[in-house]
Amino acid sequence: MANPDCEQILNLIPLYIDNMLSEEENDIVGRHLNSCENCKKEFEFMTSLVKNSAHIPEISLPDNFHKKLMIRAEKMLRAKKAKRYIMLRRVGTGVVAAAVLALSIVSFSNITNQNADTNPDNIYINTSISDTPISIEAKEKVQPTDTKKELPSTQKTQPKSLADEEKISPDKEVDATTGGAALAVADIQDEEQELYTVVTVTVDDSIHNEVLKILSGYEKDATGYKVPDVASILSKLENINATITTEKSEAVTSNYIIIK
Amino acid sequence: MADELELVKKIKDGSIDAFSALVQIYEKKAYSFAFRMLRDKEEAEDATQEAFLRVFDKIDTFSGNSSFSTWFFTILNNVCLDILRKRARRISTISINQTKDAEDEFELQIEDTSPGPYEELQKKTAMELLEESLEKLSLEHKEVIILRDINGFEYEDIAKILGVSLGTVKSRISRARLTLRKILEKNKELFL
Repeated sequence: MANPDCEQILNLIPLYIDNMLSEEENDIVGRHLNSCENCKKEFEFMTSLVKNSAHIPEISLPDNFHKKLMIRAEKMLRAKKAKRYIMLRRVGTGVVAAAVLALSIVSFSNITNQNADTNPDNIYINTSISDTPISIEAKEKVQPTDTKKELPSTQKTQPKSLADEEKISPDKEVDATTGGAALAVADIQDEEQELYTVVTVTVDDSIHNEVLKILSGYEKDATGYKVPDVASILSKLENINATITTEKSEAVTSNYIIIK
Repeated sequence: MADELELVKKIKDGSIDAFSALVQIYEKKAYSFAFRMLRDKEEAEDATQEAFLRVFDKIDTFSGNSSFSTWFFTILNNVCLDILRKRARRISTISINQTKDAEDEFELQIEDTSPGPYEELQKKTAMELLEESLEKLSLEHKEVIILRDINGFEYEDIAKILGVSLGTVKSRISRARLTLRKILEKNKELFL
């Protein structure tokens, strides 16, 4: 660029500020700024705009931005885990069912081979095989989720009557003819996942305190208020004309009321 | 940053606390970016939350080839552009100001470098004038000024975020700064 005019230099100043010109252009601009007062002022002006931009204040976050985001993230995480759990269960059930079938076939062929034997123990074996259905029943009460103890703690809570039963660990040896079958049946039974109700209540200032009164006494966590008896709470909320949306979810471990 | 990479690793392992910590690092910058792009508080909040949730959902796809901030702002910028496109589609039949330029298909205003009615009457601070001037820029000029001058991204990272060439970034930054200069020329003394 021979004898650049000020117009050309002006157009190069924006990138000159960031050292984003070629070496040649850089030199040309540098030399011109040393000799031209007007262009020097333009350079100082544009540099000041860039520096001031760096100090433009950040805009304040909306109220509860972080809290709302984390609630959504936790829901997403639970939904992901629930999906993974269902997939594992389906695979696991398939594998166990196949194993039970294989074992049954092996056991049956053992029986037919031993029928001719007069050993009382073999008769006992026959009996124990025929007792298998009873054994399965007894083992049904074991908490199925504990067979997957590597899964996170947000698993669906088992009904209280099962809480004290012995847990089957996947690492324990299970009886091939009974424990394995019990596992399969318990797993199949537990396929029917319970859905919980999630109620979102949109409140304005006029009913906010009323809603909080209704929910006082209920346990609150990161998701919302845990409300086992959601039907009675719903009718109270409807009585104060709260705006409600209800959905079923298997991604939560309880009925919830969420205030929005 | 090493701390961020450590948090990313923990998020990949399923740590929601690590995600919360990472959000705290970026939430203000991200919301400011979204608000300046969208000029609507609710949409900016939605966009920012959506971007964070996409990060959380797709964290396994972050390979570390670029910095986390570049990756995150790519997602955030795309979310904002999606909202702007939807907005443009909604009003395209009634707006008479929409430009049909292929590059600025969802731009709703033409850059106006003339002073507004209040600028001549009120004394404003340099910062206030600068913020107002930013709003007068076209979308693609505003984008690069926010990313370069406000958030300090390098040119190469801006190219990745916007999905354009380095040459395009240079061109846009150059024109954007010259436009800002033109808008604020009458108030030059406030900046010198």
